[in-house]
Amino acid sequence: MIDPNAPVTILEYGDFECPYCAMAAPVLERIVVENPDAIRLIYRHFPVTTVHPLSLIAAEAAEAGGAQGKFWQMHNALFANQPRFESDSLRQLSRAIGLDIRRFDREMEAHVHLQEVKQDFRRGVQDGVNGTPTLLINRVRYDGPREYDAILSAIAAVAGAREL
Amino acid sequence: MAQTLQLNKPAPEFTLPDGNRTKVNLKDFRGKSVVLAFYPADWSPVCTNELAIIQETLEDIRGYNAEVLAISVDNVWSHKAWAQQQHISFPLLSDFWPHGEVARTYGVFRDEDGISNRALFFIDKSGNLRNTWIAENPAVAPGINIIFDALEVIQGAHQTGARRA
Repeated sequence: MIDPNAPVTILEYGDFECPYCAMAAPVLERIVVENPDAIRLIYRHFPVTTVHPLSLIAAEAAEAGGAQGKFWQMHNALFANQPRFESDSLRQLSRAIGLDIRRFDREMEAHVHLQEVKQDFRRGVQDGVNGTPTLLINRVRYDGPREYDAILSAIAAVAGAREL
Repeated sequence: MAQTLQLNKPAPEFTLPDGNRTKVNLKDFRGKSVVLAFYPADWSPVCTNELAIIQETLEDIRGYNAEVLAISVDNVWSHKAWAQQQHISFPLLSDFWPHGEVARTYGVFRDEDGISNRALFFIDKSGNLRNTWIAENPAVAPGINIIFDALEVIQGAHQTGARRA
């Protein structure tokens, strides 16, 4: 068990076009859902556009969802629909999760969220991203397997919690 | 071996072909810092890997008056195809024959499997080796911050030198 008095932050740098990020997403979600008071997940954008040309626009779409209080819904929808991120597909996803489509269109067209995404990328460089996804557990990079048991053990070690 | 390479001494010279079969000499980069990135293999099954992130940040790296030279034991044809697929624009050098000779010179050749370890060598504009990073586990890439931190130190020293001059 994770000690609820020693909350742990998982910081993820991810790319919506990266298949390994898509595989990690449900694992991380399960870990957080099962330990809502003890573990929190922060997602930051690290779009590697040379190999994933649509990852940047997808990151902007996630932030556009966030602006309407639906970041995680958009995050999940993007990974579930990877890699169909043409503009029409993104609009369909935003409709499906109930975003105000006019506002979504407006913000995407004006690239309102581009600077936030770029800021995340710069923080990722400083934080020592070495691939996607990069996970940091309480600011320490975790390079182990991105599987439920392995991540949970690493979290328990960091938190100093006793395992049952 | 790596321990015979000394910091602040000239980095070993080499000439290797890139993916276009153009010979690349380390000494041609005098006047710039060089990030020498040894890596195990083209086509390795990593998603967005070390070289993709270097490519993504290449303009910032060049902002430090630096160039990146990546080296593996793959042949030139592999390098050419992989660079095209990954949109890599910096040179991928082929240490194919004599097999791994440059990796051996830098102390990062792995006799057990015939590939290079993952490693970074930072060479300043005078050709001196200034810093190194050698992977404990070749499956784990270096954080991209390691490159910027090393270039920051090298550039800072250059600026100090310039002020003295």
